[in-house]
Amino acid sequence: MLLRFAPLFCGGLLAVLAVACTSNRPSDIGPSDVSETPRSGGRLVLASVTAPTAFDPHKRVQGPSQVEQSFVWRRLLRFPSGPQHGWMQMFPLEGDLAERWETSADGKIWTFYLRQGVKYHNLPPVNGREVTADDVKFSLERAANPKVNLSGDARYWEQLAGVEVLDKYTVRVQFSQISPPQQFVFAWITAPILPPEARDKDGTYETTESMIGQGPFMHKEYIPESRHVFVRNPDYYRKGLPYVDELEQVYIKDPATRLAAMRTGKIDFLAVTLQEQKDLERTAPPGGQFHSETGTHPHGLMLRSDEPPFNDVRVRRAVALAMDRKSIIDSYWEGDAVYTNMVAALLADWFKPLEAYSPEARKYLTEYNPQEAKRLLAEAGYPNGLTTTLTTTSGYEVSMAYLAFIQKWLENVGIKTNVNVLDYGAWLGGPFRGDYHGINLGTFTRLADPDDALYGFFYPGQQENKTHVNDPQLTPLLLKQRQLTDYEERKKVVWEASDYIAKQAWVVFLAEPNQHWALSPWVRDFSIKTLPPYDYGTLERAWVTR
Amino acid sequence: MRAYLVRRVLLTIPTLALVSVLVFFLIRLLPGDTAELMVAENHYAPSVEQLREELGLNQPVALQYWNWISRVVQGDLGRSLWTRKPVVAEFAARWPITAELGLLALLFALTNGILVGVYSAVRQDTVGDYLARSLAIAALALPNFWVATLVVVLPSIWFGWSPALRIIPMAADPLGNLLQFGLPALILGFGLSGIVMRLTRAMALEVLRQDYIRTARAKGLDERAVILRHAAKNFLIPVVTVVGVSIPGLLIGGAVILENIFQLPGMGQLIIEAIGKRDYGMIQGVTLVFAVVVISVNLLVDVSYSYLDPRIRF
Repeated sequence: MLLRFAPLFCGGLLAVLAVACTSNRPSDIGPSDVSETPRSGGRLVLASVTAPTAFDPHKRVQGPSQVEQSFVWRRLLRFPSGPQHGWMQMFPLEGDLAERWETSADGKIWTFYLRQGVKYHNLPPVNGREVTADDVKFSLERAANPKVNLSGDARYWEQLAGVEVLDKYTVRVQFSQISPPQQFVFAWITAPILPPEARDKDGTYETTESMIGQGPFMHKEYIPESRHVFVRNPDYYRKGLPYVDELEQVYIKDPATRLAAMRTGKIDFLAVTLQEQKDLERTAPPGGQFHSETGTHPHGLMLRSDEPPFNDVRVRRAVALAMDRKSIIDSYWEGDAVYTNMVAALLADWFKPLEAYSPEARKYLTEYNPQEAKRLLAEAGYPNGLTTTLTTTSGYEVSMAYLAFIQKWLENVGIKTNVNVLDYGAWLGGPFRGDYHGINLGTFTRLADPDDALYGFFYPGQQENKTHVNDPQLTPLLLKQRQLTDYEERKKVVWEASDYIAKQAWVVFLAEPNQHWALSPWVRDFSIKTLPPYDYGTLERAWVTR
Repeated sequence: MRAYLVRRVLLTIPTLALVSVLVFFLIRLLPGDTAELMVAENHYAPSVEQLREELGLNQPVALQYWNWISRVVQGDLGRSLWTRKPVVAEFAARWPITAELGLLALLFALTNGILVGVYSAVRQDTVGDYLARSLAIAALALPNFWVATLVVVLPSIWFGWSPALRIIPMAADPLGNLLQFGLPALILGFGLSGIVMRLTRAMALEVLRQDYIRTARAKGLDERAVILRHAAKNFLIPVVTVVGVSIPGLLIGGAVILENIFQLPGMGQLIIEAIGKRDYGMIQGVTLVFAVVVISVNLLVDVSYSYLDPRIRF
């Protein structure tokens, strides 16, 4: 009798499987209405690979946190928002909490006139009170406090001389020195206006309960490593916005699960590779939308310039010429990538096209010439080649894929490498902070102003100066570009510095792959700012047709 | 029996002490410590040295161990170095998910493995036996991460179905909860069921040829009584042993992968994240709890021997 149940039991299991697989059929999915008039209601689900680990916006810089902070908190200024603006368009800045602003002739004094009647979220202990100039003073001083702001962004606040409250809605910010990136910091999510009374018991904003702002969405529920749910702020100062009632960020680590969720309409937004986009185009229900932009996180080789052999420019140039970037772009990325440099295409206003570089600089950015590389090595005193360390992390899939090519190309010109692959944790703790010898293969993040890519990466003593550059010819240029407010004048210096950096080959970039995103068929007017620091607060204008 | 139990419980003390020492010191041998990571990735302090001091990581390792183990014996498993939340709180939130997944997987592995194994033994060399043996080999040969990926990908293409992205609470929707956990549990338990199937078949074949079974049949007992009353207890002893030693792998190894693919925020994900972040406090606390679970399961297995075979006395 018992044995007779064995096949039945197996059959039952198959039935369970079948039931599980037939719920939520594709007929549930698809636009219910094709009207293009924005309408309120509905839910938007965004997927991310990584979950945030901390939420205090003044304290640290972390991409996944910034995305969520931007739903909740507003700044004095904002990047141009709305679907008519590009995802990477940073100019012209618009007023946000500040209705208007003035800058003194010398550029050192900024006076902000706050919008009246802007309220915080109606959550205790703030309970929907009005945003005032005192909050601005508190927030900007906190962002500039080196004991609080431990991130690389702190350098933009070093020149803050004072914040003065003129009246309830007017505040004056004074800098001891001008610095062009200052205009951006007022719009970055790293300088939001926070209510002092929302701080947690440690005096920080690290907990989700302290995420009380004046943004379009309010924190509702956070399950670590699983999801963060936000709901519409009914008192948002832009009347009628946001359109969606609920915004959810889910964290999905497994790539197959992410794609399956996108395919079946469980998520509405997902960053994908070109291959994944093609997969979705083939297998997802029709109507899916895709968006592409130039990349923001290229991979490159960092050469330790304060130690032999890479303290010799000829050896660095040999490495640059040994890299067959074209084959990476054509074969690995299937043409979906471009040559890149320090001040890259993503910084649209500062972009220096390859043809604008001097022939010599362009050579080290693009050319593959193993013979010339060998000659340079011989000239530098390494006729029989040399041996060095090549460190990278298994945490970056692309780094691991590049590794074999790089090793082979270096070996072709006589550079033997002892490969040191570290897990992500170990890499962050050492090479990521510039603690390595020889070559370090990793990824780069560049912010919206070229100062980050220039001063941040190459000024002696800066956190991001991982190639340990201290160059007497470059340093004055880095400082000079910080002092110029005239766009054309500054651009000239930025371009001059870029050319010099390319010729010095401290960093050998490999390729800048394009970025792609998939969107559900029913999502409309979806626009975000994808240049770090990220701003997804622009999703206040996104709406759904289902 | 009581003396045996007391002896075994007392023996867990040196075992756990050894586990605690191994975990505490081995995790610190990995390159990249917590403070370096926290400063590099999240700017938790102006300098690594300052953070080390704040977290107590600048103290001699032996002293750090003493401080930690002193709190553990008082019931405090410590705190996550990253989130500063108590390990117990994180554990409490995630343990039910892993436990449900593990129990369902175990239930499936045992029922499927034993039933099909016995069926296969009783119907030796029939078509049913061949099919069952093929199923067992397939269960052993197919890696669960591969099966899980197919189960996620193919239905999403064919039926427009994919796993739920949020936990469906048992109290709110029992059927939804069972469907959510059922699929990963089937996949997780499938490999173990192959082992159980083969072992049960082999042991049952041996037992069913024993004289006492022949005697039972000669007395006119029906086949069900022969198998359940006379054979089962004897051929289940090795099965129970194998299941006992398989549970750690099922809970930790398998669950890590399946929880990830099926979006179940359980212990597997927690421990992997903690190792990646070198979150010593979390790793130590969670590993110690896993050790307690494994020791307890093995104790239960040993105790069950005396039930299955009354000749075994402790």
